[in-house]
Amino acid sequence: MNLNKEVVNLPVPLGTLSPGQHAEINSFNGANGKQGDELQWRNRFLYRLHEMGFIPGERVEILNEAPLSGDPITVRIRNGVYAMRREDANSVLVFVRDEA
Amino acid sequence: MSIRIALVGTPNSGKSALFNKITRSNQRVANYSGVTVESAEADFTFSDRRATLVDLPGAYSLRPYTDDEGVLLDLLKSHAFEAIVMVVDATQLERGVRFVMEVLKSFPLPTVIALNMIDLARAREFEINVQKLSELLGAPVVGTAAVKGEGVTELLLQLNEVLQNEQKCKDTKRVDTPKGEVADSNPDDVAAEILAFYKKADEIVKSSLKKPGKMDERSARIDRWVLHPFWGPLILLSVLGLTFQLMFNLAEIPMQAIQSAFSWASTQVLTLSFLSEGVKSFLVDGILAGVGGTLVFLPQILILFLLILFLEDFGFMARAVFLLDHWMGKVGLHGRAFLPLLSSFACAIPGIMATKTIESKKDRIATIMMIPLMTCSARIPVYTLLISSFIPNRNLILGVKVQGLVMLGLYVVGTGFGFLSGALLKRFFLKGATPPLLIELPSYKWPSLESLARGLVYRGKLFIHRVGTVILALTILIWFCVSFPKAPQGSQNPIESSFAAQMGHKIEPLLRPLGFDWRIGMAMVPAFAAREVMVSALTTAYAVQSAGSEEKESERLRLSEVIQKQWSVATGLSLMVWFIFAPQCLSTIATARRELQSWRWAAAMVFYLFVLAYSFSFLTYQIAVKWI
Ligand SMILES: Nc1nc2c(ncn2[C@@H]2O[C@H](COP(=O)(O)OP(=O)(O)OP(=O)(O)O)[C@@H](O)[C@H]2O)c(=O)[nH]1
Ligand SMILES: [Mg+2]
Repeated sequence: MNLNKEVVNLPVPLGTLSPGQHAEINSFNGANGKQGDELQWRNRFLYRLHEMGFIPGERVEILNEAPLSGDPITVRIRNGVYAMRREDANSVLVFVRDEA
Repeated sequence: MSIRIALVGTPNSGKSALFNKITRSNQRVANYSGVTVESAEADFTFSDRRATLVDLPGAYSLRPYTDDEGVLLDLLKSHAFEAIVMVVDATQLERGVRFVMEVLKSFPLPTVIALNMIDLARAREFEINVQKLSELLGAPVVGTAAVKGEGVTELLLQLNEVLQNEQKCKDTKRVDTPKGEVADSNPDDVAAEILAFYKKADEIVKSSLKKPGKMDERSARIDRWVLHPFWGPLILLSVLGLTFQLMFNLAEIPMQAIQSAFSWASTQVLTLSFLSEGVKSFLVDGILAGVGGTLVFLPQILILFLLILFLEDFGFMARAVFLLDHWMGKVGLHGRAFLPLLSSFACAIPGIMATKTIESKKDRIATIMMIPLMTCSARIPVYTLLISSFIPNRNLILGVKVQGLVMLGLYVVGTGFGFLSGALLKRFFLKGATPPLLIELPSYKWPSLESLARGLVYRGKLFIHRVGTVILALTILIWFCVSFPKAPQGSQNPIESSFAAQMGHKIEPLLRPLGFDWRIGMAMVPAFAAREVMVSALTTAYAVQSAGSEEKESERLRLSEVIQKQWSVATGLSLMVWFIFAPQCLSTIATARRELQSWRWAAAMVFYLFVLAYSFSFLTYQIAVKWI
């Protein structure tokens, strides 16, 4: 019983969700061996996400995905909607939640 | 003494709209982030103070991501301002308040806060305790609706008060000089600091928000259509198709009106007996033919701008970035690069400036190199002239006509080659990863008729100004070159002895394989300064020529009829192709050089465009001559 619940509650990368899904931000991924420019960009991307309100405990909702490729996606947080690529969104780890 | 006041705030919060209201200026306002990329200033007076207001690029924080945000930080650091007006989007309070706190901490100058878009916040039933917010932030907060002018007077009153208090303080104690330090230490520390800041902002917002407003469900609903996998692209294509149809079908009537006005003026001038033949020729063949020949295209240009203004104000641009990001990824760029490319359809120069919003240096170079192939509005006169002369306007299905389609085709070919060049550059010369994409999709805003009208009038004025200055000057120069030196009496074709003909004949051998004669060659030279001059140059050249020949004045033909008779279809097509690619407009190249900070890249740009133009015109002409 307890074990099952653990499995359900494992955080997943934000970029793996589909339109219509709601989630709660848990934490942020490490740098994944990125270096140089890419490391810089990834850090600044995270700062910017924080500045836009992506902080642990916050609720998010996936609204749309781009035609054909399904990438990028649009994410709603508070009163803002932001577009980002799935790969980049994966640095945000979330718990999937039902609509509040 | 005049004081300098900075407008600081998050992107798309309405800084430029407020700037325009206060200083009665015409800064570009549009519904997406990153519209303003350079500072702009204007003088105004309030409460008997003379002041200079400075509109700045928006930023989410004092940690610059791109060059345009860097502009803001550098200016703030350089102690360039005596006061700050912070602009906060009332429907995005947490984000705005966080930035306000950051700026107040690093730059403790006299500050007032404009709680902008208060009209939208009201409509979505936000209830904000302005008094409380003001206390918690330690600076006066005034609700404003910049586009309507609401709250602006109050904002300036508060600003005056803050400045007066500051004056009193100064006499007693020295104010701390702003530090403006932004430490870029350990990434985790930075992140933690931002989070802490955001939490504090959040508390302030929570305690001053009597009632949190509703989500913007209307935008979400519109997005379900606009971003729909099937309907989205279809809607976009129909809007584009419709615009090009309108450019040819709706614009026809006003164009004819302008044309008739100018022919009427010409006949009036010709009947003035006190003018000598030379003066008449100067007025009619030089000024009226040249200016009128360019001015007729005003209606078409306005139709295109109406579309652009509407899409920008409605909030479509960021959605286009979203829809096209995947395809931009194939080129090796990210969706953001699409915005500068899109503004290049109006003019390449603001497009090149807008590349400041691209964070990767290499991507920025690649984007600038692509820009000249986007079809700027100066090409419209040339394309229209050639299309209406050489393409029959047959009806296809459902009222769709061939001419509009060919126009769309020219746009598509130019854009397609632009992307191809970008892809090759990224692949072989500017290899490198693309930074993450993160762009805000703003709420849709229904553009007000007033702002559309004002935008159109402004654009119209710019075009008329251009015709009245650069184009007029060049046309006069051309008239001189085709009229002098005068041929000996009784010569068959007097224009042949002119400077223009001498020069044209010199470059003719180079251009023969493309199907261009000396007249086209002669008109192509001033077109390097401004593309539209191609049209006025040809008008003037043919006008002078027919004036010298046996034809009676009343039989002077419209340029499109003249070239229809004198040129082959192959020449017409080849010239269209030339105009897709040719490295024209010196100011574009100069701007590119300045922004790239490299002569080499600018030279490479001219070279590759020239090679494309020459080879494809050559192919078009040779194939068309054989097959048509
Ligand atoms: N309804 C409403 N719309 C506004 C108001 N202020 C600005 N807008 C609209 O909001 C959008 C953004 O305005 P801008 O003035 O371009 O914003 P900005 O802060 O200069 O943006 P950047 O230059 O990108 O940083 C435009 O579509 C404006 O018409 C307002 O008070 N009410
Ligand atoms: Mg602006």
